[in-house]
Amino acid sequence: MSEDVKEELKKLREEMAGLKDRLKDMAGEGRGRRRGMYIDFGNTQDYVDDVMRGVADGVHGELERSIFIGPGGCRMWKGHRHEEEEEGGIDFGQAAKAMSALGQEHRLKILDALMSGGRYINELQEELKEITTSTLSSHLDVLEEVGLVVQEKVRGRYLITMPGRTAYQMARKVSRFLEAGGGEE
Amino acid sequence: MMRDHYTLENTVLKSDEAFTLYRVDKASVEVNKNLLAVPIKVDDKRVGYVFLGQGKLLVDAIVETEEGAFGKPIERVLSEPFLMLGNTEQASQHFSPASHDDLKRATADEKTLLDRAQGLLDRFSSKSAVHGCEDLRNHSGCIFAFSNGENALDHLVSKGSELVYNDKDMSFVSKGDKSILRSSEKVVLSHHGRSFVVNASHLPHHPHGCC
Repeated sequence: MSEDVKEELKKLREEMAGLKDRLKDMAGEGRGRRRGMYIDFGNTQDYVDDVMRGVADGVHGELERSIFIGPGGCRMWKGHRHEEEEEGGIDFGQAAKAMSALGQEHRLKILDALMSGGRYINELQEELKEITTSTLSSHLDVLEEVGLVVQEKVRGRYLITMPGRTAYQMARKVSRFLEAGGGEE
Repeated sequence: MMRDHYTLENTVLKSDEAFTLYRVDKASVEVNKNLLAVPIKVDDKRVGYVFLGQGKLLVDAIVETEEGAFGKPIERVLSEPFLMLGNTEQASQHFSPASHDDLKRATADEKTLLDRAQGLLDRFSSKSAVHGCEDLRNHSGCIFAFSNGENALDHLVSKGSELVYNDKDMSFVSKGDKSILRSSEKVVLSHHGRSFVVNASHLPHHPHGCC
């Protein structure tokens, strides 16, 4: 056996010994896990969160049938909302008018500005500089006509109504859904 | 409870110009030029007027909640007689004695006008017509009573930031950031934006309105 081959075998033995040591270390880490030294809290927390969310949704759904809890208070019916919804149905004409009023970018921006509180027209003009004064007035008239906005007669402030707030939230949900690629195959 | 004894002066005045008779954040009463006015007195002290002519009442009966605004502004043309009790100093600057021509323009003589004014004052003073609202007469703020054509009176009462308005269809109370609106459909209570909405059809009917 030549000296070169002997040298090569020696290196291979050293490498094998190194690999055996490495395997022992890894085996030790594995035992540690099995003894409970390592827990994947990330997955567990997600699971608990999912369960809690499901329970909360269930409880909220039950409450919704008799009491509606809004962001700042509650709305109460003696009867069940289900009955009211089933009897009511949709006023297609009125809904179409409201949807039509919503179908304009500037009007959505006006509702967005009013979501944080009542505004005088000059305050709206200041916030929505891209809309001219006459166009702004015209948009406000449209929103007011379908009941999404109401104007005070004494002070003149514009306020978003309950239907207006609902319409805005609906538009926001649709926007977010589309942004997230919702509905795409 | 002791009641004031209201009487009318035997004088008819007219407004020299259109002006705002009363204005607070949520309500105003505007009157036209040539509005006729008969002063009301208590123990020789002028405490108000009965008005006959044209005017306009505005009330922002709107409750602001975190769920959005509920209610609507009320814009009402005043063509029936109405009365005001309260501070008369500011209003008195806009009135001068009415001439015969002014009375003719109102298609009435002085006696007819005074009778109509007395009729309204009697209805206001009558417990049956303003049942439940006795306290209003001793209110230190401003009180308006409007004929609504149904042998009853609608009221607007205001004192500082407090406002009460009621007519046959609705009642509205506002005090600072607290508001209550009762319509035929819903009762909305709001305090600092927090709201409570109740379907009015489930509430007991109050036969005498808000008062």
